Amino acid sequence: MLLHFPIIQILITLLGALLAALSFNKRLAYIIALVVASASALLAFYVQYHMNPSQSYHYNLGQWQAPIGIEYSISYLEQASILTLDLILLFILAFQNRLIEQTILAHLDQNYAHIFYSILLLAHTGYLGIISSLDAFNIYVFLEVASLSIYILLAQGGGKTSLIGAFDYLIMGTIGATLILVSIGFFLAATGSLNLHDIQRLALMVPNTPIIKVAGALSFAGIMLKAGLFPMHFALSRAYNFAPAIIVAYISAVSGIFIVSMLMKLTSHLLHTKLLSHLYLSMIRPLSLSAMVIFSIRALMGSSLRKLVVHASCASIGYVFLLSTISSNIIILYRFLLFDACNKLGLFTIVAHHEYMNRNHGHNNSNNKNIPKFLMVIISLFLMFSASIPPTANFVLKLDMISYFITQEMYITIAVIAISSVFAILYHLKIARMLFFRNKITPQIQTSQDIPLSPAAADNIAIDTTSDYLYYIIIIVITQFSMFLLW
Amino acid sequence: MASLGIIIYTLAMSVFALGLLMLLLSDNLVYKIIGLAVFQSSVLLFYIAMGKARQGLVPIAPTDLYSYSSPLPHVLMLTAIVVGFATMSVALALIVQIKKAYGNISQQELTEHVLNKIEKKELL
Repeated sequence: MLLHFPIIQILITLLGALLAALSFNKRLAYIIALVVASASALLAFYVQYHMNPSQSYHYNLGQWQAPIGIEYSISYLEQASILTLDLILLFILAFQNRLIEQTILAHLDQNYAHIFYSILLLAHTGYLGIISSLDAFNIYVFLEVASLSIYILLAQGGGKTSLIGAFDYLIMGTIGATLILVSIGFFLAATGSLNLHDIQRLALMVPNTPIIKVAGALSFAGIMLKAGLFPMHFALSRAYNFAPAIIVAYISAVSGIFIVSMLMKLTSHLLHTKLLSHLYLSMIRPLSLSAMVIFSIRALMGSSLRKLVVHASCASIGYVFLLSTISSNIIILYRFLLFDACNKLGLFTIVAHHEYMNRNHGHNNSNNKNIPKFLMVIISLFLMFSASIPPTANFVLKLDMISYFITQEMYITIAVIAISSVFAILYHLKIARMLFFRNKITPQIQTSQDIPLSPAAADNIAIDTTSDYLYYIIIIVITQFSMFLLW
Repeated sequence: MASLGIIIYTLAMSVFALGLLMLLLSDNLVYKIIGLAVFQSSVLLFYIAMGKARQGLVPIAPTDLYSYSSPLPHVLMLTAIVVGFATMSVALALIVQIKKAYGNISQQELTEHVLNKIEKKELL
């Protein structure tokens, strides 16, 4: 069974998406999505447990051997990424469903509300396929499956501006995907193969040919547009600012993992020869360092909680691109991806609950529930972890990063990491101030959702969302503590 | 005949550039989507031109064949056409919703509306 695992985990979520669409019932679709997410996570954990670090599973579709057929392959670290993605989806579905119902599904035609869970599972299928597949065109197809689902999810929530954000992101994302498609065409022209291992082997035979350089450059440009790396971040940050925060929590948490997967598969050949690696690193490093500093500063200057967290998310994309250029210590990259997914998931979930609890701005102030003190303690602990304050696991990771860059004599990179870390601590302090020390509701609307709550609903929701807060914070804190114990 | 290949690739890249220009510079959202369709069509031209082998024949029922054009790019582009169609469908559905919500589909006016709301602090 383990030999078929690479395809089983994609088929589970794909089948779940189909069943959810055919259920024609919101509650049934939710149950199907939850069961599928749980099964996928359990299966991923089972395979991870039985894998050795040097082992990888290969699966050939239709038993056509590579490079003729389509091959799926999962290494130990890729399996860890898949497990992380499954746990993120399970967390969102298990603990945040009430928020999904009230911020997203409440604004949909109830006859079609079940389609939301189908689209969420389709997006998840796309991301799993990107990580698993070794066929370049297959990766493009999964990328588009995930992207189209994400465009639809970003447009939800009942607010008018989410439509504009989703449309802008669709335009930029499609340009990026088309550039990736053109680069795949150049790889096919140069090597005659679509299998990525084959392409990398053949590309290294002719590394200095213009076609290989152009293919790598186009891939990088396309991934940059998709990921929202500075200076191509405008569409992504606008979409994140206007979309429902709980959806942005899922998308931002998984984005780092799928960016790294695409970079490793389509541009890693650029790091293997001296000339190409020099060109590539002179392109990618300045952009990622700029993103880290600029967005850390903009996050500190953010006027609202959402803007602050969106800019922090854009800064972490800079870290992802920077660490993806380290081929000799890939463990640092995957540790960062895991921690970053937890941080973004937690931060955007805080934003989602904070915006939702403040939505009833036009009603009696007694409906505004302050955060209970025990929850303040838990959120503070999480913010400490997210800000990389010692002795948290994130702090140890930053130390490991700096130690590595010292051995590589990359002192500018060390300085940038230090500066952005200082700004990270400051904007996390600002987040804490925004959450804990605002005594009254401001008259401004905090979200793009223009539909107010009724007072009775607001009372019930404030109590319900507090328990959601508790669950997700506990999960995040436990995860961070366990990683701290393991470092 | 080598120059014919260069001419076809040049034409494909010209269509690529024109589609991108239309996509980025149009104010009307529907024109943007038309530009997107033209932009994606250029990739079809590029792939199919790439598949043609010099003096290659159609790869059907070979008899005394010594060279045939690759059918792989054609197959890939069938998938790409479907993907492009799906992307356009989503984009047009979004445009319909934007029209219902805002009453117009002008990029400039929509951006001004959003910026005005941000200035009035009605948005983030």
